[in-house]
Amino acid sequence: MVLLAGCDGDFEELNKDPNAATGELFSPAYLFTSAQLFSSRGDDGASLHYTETFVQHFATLSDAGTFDFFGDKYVYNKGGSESLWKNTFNAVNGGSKLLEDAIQLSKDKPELSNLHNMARIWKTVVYHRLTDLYGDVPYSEANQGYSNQNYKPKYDTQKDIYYSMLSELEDATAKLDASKGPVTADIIYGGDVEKWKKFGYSMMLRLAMRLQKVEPATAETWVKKAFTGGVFTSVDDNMYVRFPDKTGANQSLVNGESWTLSVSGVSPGKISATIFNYMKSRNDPRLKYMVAVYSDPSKASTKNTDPAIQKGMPNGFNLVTIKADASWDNTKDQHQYSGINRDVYAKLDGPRMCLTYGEVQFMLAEAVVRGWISGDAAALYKEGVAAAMKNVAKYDASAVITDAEIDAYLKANPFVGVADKEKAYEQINTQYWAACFMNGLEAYANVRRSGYPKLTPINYPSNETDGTYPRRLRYPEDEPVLNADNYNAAVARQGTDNFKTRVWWDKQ
Amino acid sequence: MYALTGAASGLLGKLNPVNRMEQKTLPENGIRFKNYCKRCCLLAALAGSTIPLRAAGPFESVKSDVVINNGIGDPVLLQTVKGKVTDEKGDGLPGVNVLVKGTQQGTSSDAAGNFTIEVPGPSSVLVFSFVGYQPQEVTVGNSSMLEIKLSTDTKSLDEVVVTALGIKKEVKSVGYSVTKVDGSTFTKTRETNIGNSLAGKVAGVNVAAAATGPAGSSRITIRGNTSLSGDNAPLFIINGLPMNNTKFGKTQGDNPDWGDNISSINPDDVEEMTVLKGAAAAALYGSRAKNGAIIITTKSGKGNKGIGIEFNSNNTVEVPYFIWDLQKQYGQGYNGVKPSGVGVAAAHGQNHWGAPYDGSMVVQLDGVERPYSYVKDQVLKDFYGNGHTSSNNVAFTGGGDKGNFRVAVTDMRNKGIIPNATMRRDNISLSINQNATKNISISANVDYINEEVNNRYVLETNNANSAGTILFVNSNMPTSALSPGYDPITFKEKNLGTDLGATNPYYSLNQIKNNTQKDRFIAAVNARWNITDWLFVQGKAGQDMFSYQINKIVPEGTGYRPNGQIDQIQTNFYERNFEGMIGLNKALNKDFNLVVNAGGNLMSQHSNGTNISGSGIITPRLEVINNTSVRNTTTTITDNKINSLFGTAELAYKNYLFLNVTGRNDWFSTLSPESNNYFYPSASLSYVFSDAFEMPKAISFGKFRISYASVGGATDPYQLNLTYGVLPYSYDGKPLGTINQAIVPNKNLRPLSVNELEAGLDLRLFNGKLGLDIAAYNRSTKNDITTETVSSVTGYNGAVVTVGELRNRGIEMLFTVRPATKKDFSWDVSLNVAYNKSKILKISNSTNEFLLGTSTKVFLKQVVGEEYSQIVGRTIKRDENGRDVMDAKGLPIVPTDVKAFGSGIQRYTTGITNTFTYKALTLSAQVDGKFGGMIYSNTNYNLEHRGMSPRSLLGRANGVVLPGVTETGEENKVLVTAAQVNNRDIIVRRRDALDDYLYNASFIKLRYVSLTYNLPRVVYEKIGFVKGASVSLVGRNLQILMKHTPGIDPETNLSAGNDQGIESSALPPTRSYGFNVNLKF
Repeated sequence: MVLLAGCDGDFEELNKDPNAATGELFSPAYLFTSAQLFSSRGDDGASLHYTETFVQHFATLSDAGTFDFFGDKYVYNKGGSESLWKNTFNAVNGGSKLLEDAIQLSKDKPELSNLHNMARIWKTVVYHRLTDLYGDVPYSEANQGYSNQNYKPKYDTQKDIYYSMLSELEDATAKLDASKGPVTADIIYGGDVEKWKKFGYSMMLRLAMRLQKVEPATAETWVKKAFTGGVFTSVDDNMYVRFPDKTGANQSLVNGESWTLSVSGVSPGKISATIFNYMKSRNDPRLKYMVAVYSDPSKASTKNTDPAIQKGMPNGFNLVTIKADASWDNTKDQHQYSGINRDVYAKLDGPRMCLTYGEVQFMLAEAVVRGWISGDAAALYKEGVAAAMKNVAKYDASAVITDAEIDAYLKANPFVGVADKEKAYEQINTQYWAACFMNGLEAYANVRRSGYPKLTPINYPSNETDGTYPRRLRYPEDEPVLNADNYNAAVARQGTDNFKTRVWWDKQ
Repeated sequence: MYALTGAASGLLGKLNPVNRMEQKTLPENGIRFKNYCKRCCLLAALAGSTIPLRAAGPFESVKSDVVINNGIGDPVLLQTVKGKVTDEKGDGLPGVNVLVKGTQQGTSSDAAGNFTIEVPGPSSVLVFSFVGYQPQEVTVGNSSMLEIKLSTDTKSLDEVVVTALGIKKEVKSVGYSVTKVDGSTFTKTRETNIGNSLAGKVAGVNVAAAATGPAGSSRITIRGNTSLSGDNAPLFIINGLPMNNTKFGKTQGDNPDWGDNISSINPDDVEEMTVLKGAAAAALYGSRAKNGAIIITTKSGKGNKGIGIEFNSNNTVEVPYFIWDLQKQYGQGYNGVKPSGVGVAAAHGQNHWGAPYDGSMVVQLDGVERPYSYVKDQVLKDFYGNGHTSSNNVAFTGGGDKGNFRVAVTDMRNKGIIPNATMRRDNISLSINQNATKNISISANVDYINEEVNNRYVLETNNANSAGTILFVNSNMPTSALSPGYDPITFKEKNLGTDLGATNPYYSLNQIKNNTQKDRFIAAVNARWNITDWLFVQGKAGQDMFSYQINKIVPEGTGYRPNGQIDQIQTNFYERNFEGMIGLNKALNKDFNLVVNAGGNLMSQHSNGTNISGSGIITPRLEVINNTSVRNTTTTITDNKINSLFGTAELAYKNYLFLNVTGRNDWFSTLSPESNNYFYPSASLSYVFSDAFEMPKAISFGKFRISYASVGGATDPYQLNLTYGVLPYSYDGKPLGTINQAIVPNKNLRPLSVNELEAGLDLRLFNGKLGLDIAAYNRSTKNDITTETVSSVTGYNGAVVTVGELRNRGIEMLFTVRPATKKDFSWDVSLNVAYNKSKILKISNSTNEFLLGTSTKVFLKQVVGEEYSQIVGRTIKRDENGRDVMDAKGLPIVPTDVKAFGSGIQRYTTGITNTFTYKALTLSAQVDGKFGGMIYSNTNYNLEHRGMSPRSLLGRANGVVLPGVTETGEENKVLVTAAQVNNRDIIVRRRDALDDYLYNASFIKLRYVSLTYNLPRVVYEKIGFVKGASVSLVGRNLQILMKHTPGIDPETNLSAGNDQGIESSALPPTRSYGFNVNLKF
């Protein structure tokens, strides 16, 4: 016994985990499915609590730093500010990490080429949101802890990231080939290559438009490429993710923002007076599906959709200061204001929109006004409004807006024409803002890029922006600790790490 | 068989002693006569001078049946003398050597202490000697029944200690630091987790219990921490075989501290604990003892004749006391306004930024109007209550010529200071020793432990936390108003306000369940064959197996998890050890003696775990896993082996110079096959200079020792490769892939090494009235396997690296003083002082620091050049004169850069025990303390944020100009208005900095006092069947004599892990009072 102690043959076998597979055996398709799911569940802190209130889709009476919807008052909340980053870069189910391995494991495998290229397109979805919110972020060296032992990823400039993402979109979209192997793991289009191509070009359009302020010539070039390539042609092309668990039993399989709005954090968030009044004053047919008063938000049964009692909550107030506002009815409590209609917009199995036909039409309309492509701006505008309204039914099948309602709306709110370009930009982008309801990240990026709608900044005590409109969120607090040199380089390049510093494309 | 007899000839005065254990296991071929010399040493038998004897068992008195030579040469008539030898308590002392002075005739006392001896006449003098007791001489006189009471001898020169692999050595031959703790230490003033009883007891042993109640984990380290992020706990050896000491997880999120495995040990079964502090001491155990070893010997039936019964009952009441530091002037509300309605009250459930208390009626969050007045002090009565612990033990022992046994049953029950928190632990232990033949002995130990804990405490966040939320709920509302925390009809949680994450504490304890059950068997068998009197072989086999179940229920209707969730976690574990050893012990010539042991060990560990997580409770109130709509199952299997070869040799020269060398080679399954084995050498030298030279009279004993050792260590399985898997649920049938590792694996893992140089001095002065034992050491770790925390941007939370280096240097001192040693009164003082300073030398090639843990605004990090577990965070900007720098708003500036403030681990540990014995009464008290560490208080941070701390009062009435300077260096004159203060402007700014919530964690505590009355022998002998009885009044954790932490007990770490230095909503401290009754039949 003693002599054999050192040469036990099963040592190596013993140290192989019996419950796991190595990269050679494992299908990267499963990683792609996870990546799609986990990078689109929604992100309470950054997207709902910050950007949806920054753009004044939502409002709250919660106090500074106390609860949720921190963007209502431009105050800093660590978890909220870093949540998109932390969800993107997450060691357990970070969408970008899963994607990276899916891309690496499918590389050089011809039978997986469609999967590989869809994953590359999806990667731009993940990273454009991230860089839009924070500015310079790790991109070229991210998620390489294992593959390259890179423990200190550098932050790429937003410019480099945008340039890279645009070429990635161009290359990956071009390489999609319907004759190659199917991608059954795709939970969005079921592997439909044509739809993915349209999506790739529509993403290219979005990214190109983002560069309008900072590099208009580059923007124009890529808008043309996207338009020529072929963008979305109907609401059925809309890119969104559905969630399979309507009971909410498995929180990983529900729409994360719906969960917050209807189950866990039901009381603090109300519909902002800004979007409420915008829609109400235009008799917007979407409004009736959007709002409801819940006199006790913890009880869904107290829902009341009577249009007469609906009202939006002004941004920037708390439980004390709201009493001085004209909208306040002293006979009632804070739940006198409209919340979101949970049966349409906050269903647990409801979709999360990523990119819609309506937005595409508005972008094309603006591109026409700018003279980058030729077309009928008024027709594109009309089609955009119609598409945005029809899209509500994607949230709930009962929320159908009829052609008659759309026509009536368009008659009352016709395109302003191209004579005053600023007016056209304002109208188009305000519609874009309304169309992006429940997609706060996109709405916020476009508000910053286009400047429309013109939102009145709030000025609450102890806010982060001295009462100016916020331009970005702060990097996670552990970055200066764990990745100090690269963090410091990014801050030195971009400006102080606060809510006031503008990202590269958000040129003053 | 290591204390040699054969070398005795010609070594008069410096002979090897024979120890007590030896004596009792002597084979039946004769008894060795004892001698006594004026140097107070026991002498071994003189080789070749034995006189034919009647065969006698170890526990029988021995009688000479021949006429002996009295030294003159004439035969004399013999007189028979009987007597009894007792210890100070009056208990019979078995095995005491009785010698007729000036002759070689002698005997030893039997199990009850009785002896019979024949002496030449009344003028004969009997010499009584026994290991650990002062020898005594008695003139026989005409008495036929002698009563001899021996008093203990702190010199204990011939004391025997258990060293690695169970090898017993005389203290004098040991070249490294070893401390023995008697089992009685753990029984009278006991802790539910025996690990915590070591606090303040042994120099160099640092005990930091997690502040998570009686069922919580204990953190024991010896001589600092050897690993940056790995295991720093010593190896526990129970009856010769390693015992698992898994920690099941610290309190995190809504999970409680799931406890540890040290807590299985029943204090009533512990005979003694031996702490092997240094690497040299533990080198023979190989890698797992790199942090030292604690060797537990459980009680056996040894020393008993016939059947005996012992009963022990210990009952204590744990009384919580109010420790928090709260302001009593302002009540619930915000912006200086008290709540105007139920909605506002609910929204400000925990905010105390309201108006000054005025006693007016205000609506509170439950809709009831109550006076606006401070009532928080009621929380102790309303929410907490007295805890109670009762431990009852019955032991049956039996012994005879051939062997002995002990069977014991113990039932321990604890009711916590929080209602519905209970713990029960039952131990059944069996010990058998049997001499199969005269040369072969077999022993077996089996312990069965059954432990059940209900409602373990959650401390970290608001979810399911009770101690934190009950403290933060508004001070003007009686906490009892929140009871029972749920709607009596729907059973849904009654929330504390609009923040659903802050669980109603009554709901936490009435509805949420964090229950665990543990079944554990620890079994060991040992067979030994003494082939000759100098050669033996020995085999051991043992298994420690346990099954641990967690049942965590968050009911449907819980604020933070409305659909409910049930987690059922089952872990089955075993560790098996097979050890074989051969040993010889031989005199080489008259000056040299050699002891050699060699052997091998096969260790295998296996665990399999099943984790079923069920979410969505379908039928409310039916809280079983089958009643959930989604059930995800994860199973884990891990295997791990270590194969070892080892050997040790001791060369003794003239019984005062001892050289000991050991070597061990371990092969690890968890490391890279290219570098999976490691050799650990050690060498130690012990030099008893008091035996080598003639010393001044004051010095009774003096020893110098020095040792060097290298010990290695490995890591957990499956850290070499990256692997993939699928999640336990799917997306409409599509598998969801996942990457199994959140930590970057490392293909090139190799063993770490810990090298230690130790030197020490052991002095006994004035016949043992004063003892001093000093040790100094330098312990350095190289190639430490650590998990370097990396930015999540890498896709991982950490990376396994193997280049860490750290160092621990320290000094340990033990003073023993006996100011009084009178017959009726004795006073013993034992003082231990230890100092350990750690320094992190290297973490990895790419970083100089990494994160151990974090909470709110504080990071715990290892920082190169600093001490272990640095508390790191931001601080207020200060000018060169140390004044706070203010911005234009008159608020302090808190830059984003962080600074290391100090270590969360205390540098100095000390404890002093005083024991007074007056006749049948013994009073014992321990005061201990720790110094030199820091602690960050999350509780105080949270209190301040909520406007509950006295400091939050600053400027509420009229505003305040904060002392400090402007950025240009002028005096700050900007008024922060009351409105701004009440909007928390100051707190929001200051809370980013650690300054206000970071404290010196030094403390001194009165740890325990016990008063024991031992029923005098004359009394219980009259009763007849009773063999001994004692009653003790005990008190534990009686008083914090010194601290610097307002509102918190500095000894309340959130974690029992390496991340030391954060306190977070700990339970209130408790004092425990009780009594202990011990009866022997």
